[in-house]
Amino acid sequence: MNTDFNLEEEINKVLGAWNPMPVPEFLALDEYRYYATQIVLIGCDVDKLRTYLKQLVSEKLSVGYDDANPEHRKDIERVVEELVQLFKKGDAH
Amino acid sequence: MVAVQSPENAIGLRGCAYKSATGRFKWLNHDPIQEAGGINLYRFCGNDPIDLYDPFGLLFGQGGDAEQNPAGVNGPVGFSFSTPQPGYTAPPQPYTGPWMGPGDPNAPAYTPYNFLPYQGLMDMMGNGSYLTPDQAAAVATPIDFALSMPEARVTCPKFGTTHAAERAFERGFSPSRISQVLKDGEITPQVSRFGNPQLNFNLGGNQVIIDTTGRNAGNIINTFSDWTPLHGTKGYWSW
Repeated sequence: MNTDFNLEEEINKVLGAWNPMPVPEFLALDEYRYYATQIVLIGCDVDKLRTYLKQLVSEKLSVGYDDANPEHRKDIERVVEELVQLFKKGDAH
Repeated sequence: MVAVQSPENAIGLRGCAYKSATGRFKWLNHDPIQEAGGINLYRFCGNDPIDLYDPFGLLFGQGGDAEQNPAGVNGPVGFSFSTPQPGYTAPPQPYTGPWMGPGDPNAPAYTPYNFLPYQGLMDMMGNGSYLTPDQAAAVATPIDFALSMPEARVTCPKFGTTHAAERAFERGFSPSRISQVLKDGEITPQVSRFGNPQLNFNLGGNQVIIDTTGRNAGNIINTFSDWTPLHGTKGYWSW
């Protein structure tokens, strides 16, 4: 059983639901798949996940993330928390 | 489109000429690269001469022919336009269009040959893109779009991000197709999740997203189609 594959799919679903670009719903699960793979490689490290997501929205996607905006930071933290929970769930399997 | 009105300008026809006396296309030669370009020796540029470019009939198919090789020999699904023959220099075709889009209204006039600047895209390759230099060059190479483009509504758009370049590459949004959407598409303002204002240019479901603020103002940040997947890739150009 390939648990990494399942974890990657779950992460991809989180990114697709987050959909920062945005793209149409039917496309969301394809749009961010590459980044799900990268997040699996990062692993369950809160600081690294946070840094990666900020880099993703500010540089790779260029969707206007402002680190000085508390709402923006809160949004990132929420996604980081979801990812952490997925990693923990993956470890439990 | 690469206009084919006389034998003199019949470049890009895979090494073929055509007989004009009848007023109809008639291939006088078959494919100089034989079956390597596909089993149909009389087919040219994957039957997509508007977007594909192959002045000497020797290049097409290197990146993956959408029909013959949908998985792509060297690239992802859907890559289907080729690069100019080395040594071929396109004639200067300066073009200035009225400004109607985002960015600086006093931006300098652009030519087809600084559209999607190669150097700018290559700079991004160091930022984790999977595109090889050859693939990046292909997606960034201007393809005669000005010949069918009487006016432009944005000035010198280029890819603002690696993400945008990769999605355009995967989804078959060649420079000429992008320019077509920017020229004729319906413009709808939209915002990102973080409130970043964007412009959505939509032509028949094919969409080019232009950023309007910050360092990427006026640049392409995404391309996709609303249509059912063609070539096995969601969001692929729909025509």
